[in-house]
Parts: sequence; C-alpha cells; structure tokens
Amino acid sequence: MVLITLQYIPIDFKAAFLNLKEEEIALPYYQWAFFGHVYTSIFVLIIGIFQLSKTFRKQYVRTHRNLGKLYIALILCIAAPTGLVMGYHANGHLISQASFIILSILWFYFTLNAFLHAKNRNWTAHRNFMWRSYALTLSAISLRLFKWIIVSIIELPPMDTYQIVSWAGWLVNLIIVESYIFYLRKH
Amino acid sequence: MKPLLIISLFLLVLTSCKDTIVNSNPKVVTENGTQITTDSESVTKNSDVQPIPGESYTIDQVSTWTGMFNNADEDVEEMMYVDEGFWWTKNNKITVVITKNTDVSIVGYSVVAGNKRPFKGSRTDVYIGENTEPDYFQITVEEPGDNKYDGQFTFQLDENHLDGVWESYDKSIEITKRMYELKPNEFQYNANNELDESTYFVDWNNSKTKYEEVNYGDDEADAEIEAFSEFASATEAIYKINASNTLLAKTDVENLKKSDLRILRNAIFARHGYSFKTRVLRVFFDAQDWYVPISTDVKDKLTLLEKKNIDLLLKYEQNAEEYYDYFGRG
Repeated sequence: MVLITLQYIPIDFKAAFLNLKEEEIALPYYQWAFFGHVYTSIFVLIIGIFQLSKTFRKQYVRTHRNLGKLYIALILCIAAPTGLVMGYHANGHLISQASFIILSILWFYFTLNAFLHAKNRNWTAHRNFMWRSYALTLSAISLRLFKWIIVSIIELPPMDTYQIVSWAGWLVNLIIVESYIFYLRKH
Repeated sequence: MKPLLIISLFLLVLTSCKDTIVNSNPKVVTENGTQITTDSESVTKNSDVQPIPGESYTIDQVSTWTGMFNNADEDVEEMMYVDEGFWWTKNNKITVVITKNTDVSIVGYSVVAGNKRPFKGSRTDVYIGENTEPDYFQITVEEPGDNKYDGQFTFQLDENHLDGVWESYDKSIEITKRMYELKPNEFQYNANNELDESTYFVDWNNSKTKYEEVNYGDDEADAEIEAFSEFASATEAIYKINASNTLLAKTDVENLKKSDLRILRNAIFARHGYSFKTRVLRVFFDAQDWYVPISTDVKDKLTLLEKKNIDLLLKYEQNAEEYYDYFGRG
C-alpha cells in the first residue's frame, strides 16, 4: 500500500489511476480530494495496525490515545469527506458510485461513534465501532486483493470486476467484523 | 491468533514489492508504420473539428493481386502450434502490385508480413493457337537482394490469374520456396469494414500462451515481431465496435480486455491495408475477406477520428497491461 501511495509522489496528474481520470482531475476540487485522500489514508491504515494490539494499548496508553485522536481526525476531517467526493466521481457508473458513497458515509459514522464512545468511557462500544471503522479502512487492501483474485481465476472484464469489488471490498470486511462482535456478545 | 493477524497486516502494508502492484515492464506493441507522429496534444486539442469517418480511397496502380503466399514444401513438421487445435502453416497473405507492364519491363512491389519489397524484370508473351493477343505473359522479376528475405518471382499472368513461385536468394532461411495463386483485388479503404465473426482465427478466448520473442533479420525495424505474452483474451466486443467509423468514448472501452483493445486498434490499420509484422495480428487479419495488405506505413492515412480512438485505446491498453492482473488499481 505504501508503494501504491508512492506512485503519486510527487504530485502527478497523469500517474497510475489518474491516467484514466482525465476529466475528473481537471476539476480543482477533485485534485484536492484525490491527493488529500491518498496521502492521509496511508497513515490511517498504518496507525490502525498498532491500535489493534492489546499489548501496545496497555504499554503505551498515552500514545494509544494520541494516535487514536490522529486516526479519528484524519478520517473525519479529510479521508472520509474526500472519499465521498471521489465516490461521486467513481468509475463504473451508479453501481460503484453508490457503493463508494455509502462506504465513505459509514466510515465517517463508525469513526465518529467510536470517538464519542471513547469520550463517554464506554469501552466495549468504542472497541466495536473502531473495529467497524478499521474494517472499512482495510477495504483499501481487500478491494485490491479481491480484484487480483477475480482476474487471476475467472478473468472477468475490468469494469465488471471493478463493480463487484467496489461492493465486496468493504461488505465482506464488515460482515466478518459484525459476526465476530455478535459471537463475542453471545459468549 | 490476533498477533498473527496484526503481523500479516503489517507485512502486507509495508513489504509488498513493486512487482505485485504494477507491471513495471508494460509492453504495448505499436509497430513503426502505425505510430502516429503528431504529438497527441494536437489530436486531443483539435476539438472544434468534428471527427467524421474518412472517405473511401484507393491507391493508384496498374494492377493489384492478393492471395496466400504458401510454403511450397508443405510439411507437417513445419507447421507451428498456435493454439488448441489450431496450427499455423506459416503462410501469409501477400499483395503483388504491378505498376508498370510493358513489353520491355515489369516493375512493381510485393507486400507480405510487414515487408514491402520492390521488384523489376521482364516478360515473355505466350500465344496459344492463332490468337493475335497473347494468352498470357510469362514473367520473371527480381527483388534487389539487399534484404535477407529477397528472392525471385516467376509467374504466369493473364486477366484473372497471377500464378507462380518465388524462390529466395538466400537458401539458409527457413522457407526458401513459396507458391501462390493470386486474384485481382483492388485495395479500397472503407471505414465501415467490419470484422467477420465467421472467419476462422486463433481462439483468443482461451489462449494464454506465452510466445517466445524471436526477431529475424539484422535490422531492428525490419525484424518480425513474433512474440509477446498474451493474457487471455478477446470477447464478442470486437465484432460490435468499429474504431474507424465511430468516435469511441470512455464508456465504450472501459470494460474491454487488453486483447479487445488491441484488436480494435489494429483493425484501424488493417482497414488502411497495413501489413503486420506481429504474427498473431497477421494470422487474425489475413482471415478477413476484405483485408488487403498493401502498405507498411499507414501513419499519414489515418483520419482524425481514428487518431482520437487510437489515443484512447492505447491509454486503456497501457493501463490494462500495467494493472489488470496486478494488485495495484489502475
């Protein structure tokens, strides 16, 4: 993922993904949205790995809090709103546009809830919402992974593949996390 | 279980090497005679001109003859496995153009497998019975000899046939003798020529063959491009889209596979009579009835509409090559 991000440094309006987004990248607000999204998401992704670890949380309580605030701020202020803008301009027509728009709204909602529950010291709810939030964060990886699996196995045309993974990329993650939370509640 | 998850996530985020996200050696073959020389700026910026399909045109000549240039020593051993159930006999479509035909000299050129070679020679008038007009000409013409694949044509020519043999000067090349029975065939550019579904061609749908790259000849430009790796392949779309008479939009091409894009782009050149150096393309287009290979350079013949489409198709081909079966998203 770091390497995928590095493709876009320095800022180049023709790099990789953008090469096929000529019309969109001509819009100034899309330029801000795209680079804002790419440059913040990578930190969100990496911060989350540490936050998941129990030992890390116990040993460095203060760091956990600070990194958590950074994670929440980056998503709420930059990554999710820019995701919404990009989702509106997504390739693949209504099918993938709808998916990415819902994804960005849920991402914002879960992250905000996680923050509010932490403030109220409601730790189980905080944990559950953070898991949901990070499940959606991880769609950056799972979407690409599913895409790679689909084209390697059944060689679907590119846009069909993209429309499938635009939904599967985050739905699968969210279902796994929800089932796990449900399982914990039962036991 | 959880530390394991965390560690594997960490590895995935940080260590995936460059080769897993993008094909760092994308290979989109554009042959010399098809590369648009005008910078793509002028193609894309020229928006006040409405791109329209080009008018039909022909190339002036005395006579044009087309047919298959067949190996004279047909031998199963010589055939090449191309795909499941498909053997290519290494025979190509040839066009012979005679520009001057008088009792003192014969001048013209032949176009086959991306190679355009001039020839000249002489003729003998042959009479059968009491006719005052010759029944046919017995003709021998020679290629210059400065190309490894030059040789001598010997054929009989009448109104409807051009039949004979060709023998190479260099006896060390793979196929030294060819036979042909050519028919009169005027080349005519027609933007509406469609690919014919019924013709037999290499089954791109299932082929995932990796071809070895082999270049013949010393000159890089003259080398026959025999090879590249082909990711499985063309769909029905190639019969529905014509990139010579329709201006393509992003939505027309975004769901096409690399091979679709490639065939659509090269069909433009085929309509202009381009003779392909790339073997798979040659085998594919030779099977089209309307295809008359007559040129090794069609750059100047392309219409604005075609150039715009080529630009778009190339962009998506490049993207497909870089990202289609890679982890990174294009």
